[in-house]
Amino acid sequence: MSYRQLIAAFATAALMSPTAVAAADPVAPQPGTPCPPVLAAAMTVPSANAAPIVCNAGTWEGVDTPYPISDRWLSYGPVVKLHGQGLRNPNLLSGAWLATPLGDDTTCRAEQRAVIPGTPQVGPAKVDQGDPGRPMPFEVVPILFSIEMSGDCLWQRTDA
Amino acid sequence: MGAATYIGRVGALAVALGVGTAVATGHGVARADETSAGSSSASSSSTDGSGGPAGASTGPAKDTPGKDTSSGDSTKDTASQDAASKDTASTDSTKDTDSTTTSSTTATSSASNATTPRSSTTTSKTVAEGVVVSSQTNTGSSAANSTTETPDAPKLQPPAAEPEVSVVEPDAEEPDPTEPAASTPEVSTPQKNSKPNDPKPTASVAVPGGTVATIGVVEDVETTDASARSESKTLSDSKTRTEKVPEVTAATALGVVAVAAKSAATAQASIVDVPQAVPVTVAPRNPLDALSSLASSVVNWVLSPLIGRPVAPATPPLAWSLLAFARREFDNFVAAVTGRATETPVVTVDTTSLSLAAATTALAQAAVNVPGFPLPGAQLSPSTQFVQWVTGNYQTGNPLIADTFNRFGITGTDVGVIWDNGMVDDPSTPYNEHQVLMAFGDTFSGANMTGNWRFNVLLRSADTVLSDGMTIPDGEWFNGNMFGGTPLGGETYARQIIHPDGLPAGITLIPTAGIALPTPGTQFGVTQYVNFMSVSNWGAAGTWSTNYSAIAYSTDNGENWTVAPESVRYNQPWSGNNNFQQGAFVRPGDGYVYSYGTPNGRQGAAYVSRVLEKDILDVGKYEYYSKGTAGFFGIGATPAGWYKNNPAAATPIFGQDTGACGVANPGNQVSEMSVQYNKQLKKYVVLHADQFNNIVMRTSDTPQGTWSSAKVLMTQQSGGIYAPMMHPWSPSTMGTGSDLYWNLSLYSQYNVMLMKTDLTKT
Repeated sequence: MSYRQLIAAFATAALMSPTAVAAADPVAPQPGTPCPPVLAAAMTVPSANAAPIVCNAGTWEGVDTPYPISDRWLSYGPVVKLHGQGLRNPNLLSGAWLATPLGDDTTCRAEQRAVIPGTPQVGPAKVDQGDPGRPMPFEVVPILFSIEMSGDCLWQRTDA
Repeated sequence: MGAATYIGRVGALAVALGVGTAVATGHGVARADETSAGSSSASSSSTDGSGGPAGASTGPAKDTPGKDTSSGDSTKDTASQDAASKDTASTDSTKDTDSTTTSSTTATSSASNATTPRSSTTTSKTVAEGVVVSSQTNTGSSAANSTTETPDAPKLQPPAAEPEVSVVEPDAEEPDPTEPAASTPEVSTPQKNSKPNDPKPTASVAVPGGTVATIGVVEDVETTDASARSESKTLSDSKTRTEKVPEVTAATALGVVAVAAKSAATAQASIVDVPQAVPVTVAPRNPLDALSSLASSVVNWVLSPLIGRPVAPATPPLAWSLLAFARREFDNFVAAVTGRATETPVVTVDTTSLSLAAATTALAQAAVNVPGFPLPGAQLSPSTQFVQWVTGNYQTGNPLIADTFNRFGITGTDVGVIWDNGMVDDPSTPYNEHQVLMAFGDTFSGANMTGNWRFNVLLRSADTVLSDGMTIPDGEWFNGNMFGGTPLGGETYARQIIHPDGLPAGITLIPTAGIALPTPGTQFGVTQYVNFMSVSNWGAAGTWSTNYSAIAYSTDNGENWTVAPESVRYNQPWSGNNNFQQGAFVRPGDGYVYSYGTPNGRQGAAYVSRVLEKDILDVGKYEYYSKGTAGFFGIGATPAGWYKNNPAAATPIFGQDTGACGVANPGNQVSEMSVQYNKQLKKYVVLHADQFNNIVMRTSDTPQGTWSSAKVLMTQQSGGIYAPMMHPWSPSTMGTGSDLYWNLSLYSQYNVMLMKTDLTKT
């Protein structure tokens, strides 16, 4: 086995190893783990389709209400998908919001879809994307069906 | 020489790929679980085929008769058996051949989690100002009935003009409809236009609305036929059920629950592991396999560094091999002592396993997929029990209960207002025309409110035995049958029934009440009415805004609906119509329909109005109940009574306690509600949720009250409960028992459950 082939072997192993990808992903908050003060009262969704958790007294805790709603949400990297006032029991209310990156090179991105009045259909996506490390003010549309928030960002309603 | 070079390169590449694969997959651990050659393939084969003996076909058997054909249920009366067998017959009439195709399609759809099982034929067009109106597609259409209406629903005969002006006039002389069954037991009997030539022996049952439900006695030939079909379909159904994969939802992972497929009593359930492992026997174990496995692990451990595996965990292969070896030896020892088979699948099928095929088939048949909470049969309060799911992508063991994704494209929905359709069974037809209709709110094909969305849908049921759940027949696609499980927009896709029809566009149209009234001369002699609200905006939990409420009607058993413009109540506080944005209907039999109302959201009180049956669509003909006002030192005082065409005169009849203690009383606010006359209690009964999300019950001697204080039937449950909708065929409602059945929505699963309350324990 030549030196080149040995390198190829390691490269193949590196590409196929799930740990390499996992290392690049941010750590998802989990119930019982600590959360910083800046995230106090913020909610997040630890994984797709999981129940939300809330940062309470420095610890991530499960939400005890069946209808979680908050003016502060955390997206820790992957898409956090919520629904708004176009559906029963919204997770967030419409209005003015501010997305604040939690890292210097973090970009916040929001993709919203609103209900088309009179039809059980949603309209095209409205995308807001900030600059790396810079806060992003934006409007949550009035009859929001769903919003996908991504980036390591804290999302706060500013007109509450 | 050149060939040798290539061989060397190929070998090196193989080593390289092997290393990569080993690093990526952690083969050492995997090997530690192997006990014999080929066991890995045995595992996958067994999983894919669901245990081989149980069969490998997929999807639900569309025509499995389900519970009703089992007969022999001593708790059923004649009428119920008739209804049940009719239900089965209806189901059996179609879909004998397409189960495999359907299931394969839906399995894929389920995996994608947001698709339609079958294409919908509903079309949309923009008519004006951006208002989109979807045209309705007839389920079953008119193939078998030339008089079936086209998408424009048939108009009712306009109610006789009654030029009364709005007069504030307490109606003190009119008798209160106390105990309607006694005072007016039979107002009218809905009759179909044509009667069969061969009338069967019938049993008459007075329904709460004062009508008489004439129910045919079960015919032996039908029962026998249905039973035979049931038996013939059982095996195929059991085969298909083994393929179902639990679907993970937002809050609760689905458990696999083993439930007796048919039990006269409440279904008993127990959680077992996921997936549905089929226990099989283990082939006699060769001791040399374990030794060779151990030796292999040791060799791998020694040689691993030499093949370029730098920092792979060196200890796990050997350690796990030893642990696995010890565990398997222990399992085998236990199995040998106890005689039980282990759950380890094997690839070889020896002759001795044939006798187990029947056993595994039985287990597969009993295996079902329902959420882990609540479990069917769970006692959620001293008086109230969760019976079974009404809707959801759940396989309960009976293909006619829930399983609404495969059959109707419904994975999630809510509300489920339920009423008697007022029809009489025609013994000459293979299906039962006497049904309950259920109207649901926002409906989605995918989990977690994804996929194809409908504002509302309708389901039907003729099941009179509710103790083991409520069966809903499959849909009837384009064959003229309007008594299938739902109005269809595709072969297995429930379509939206109520559309804006040019009214102000909201973001959904949610049914809040339903009732059937006799209308001689119409297609079935009876018309269905649904009160609904147009939601303009959802707020925080329990709050929302509405544009208006209105009534839609259908003369073809709910296939096609028309919104009556004269029934619209805009959400205007100055008009008083704001207190009638959600509704509940009750028909005591005194000639009036009593229409209850609450404001938008769940923070208001309840009010009541009434209208002559023939005027139900005309909001100007309603009378509103006021408890009376004291005025200012008697000036301007008004007596208690009914006030015509003056919604603002209505005063709260319950749900508005005051004072420091009053606001903390159960039932202080009124959410979605339902009202019935309960023959067992000889009182009117209302169920609603309160400010604590308790489900509470009140009773009254008259529709307007005085209503009792609220009794808590069950407190808030994990996941969020709302919209208690009473079943009109509950034994207590019919006066034949003490049980009260009702639909209840669970938000976390976003589906509707069937509940049972023993009124002797409230």
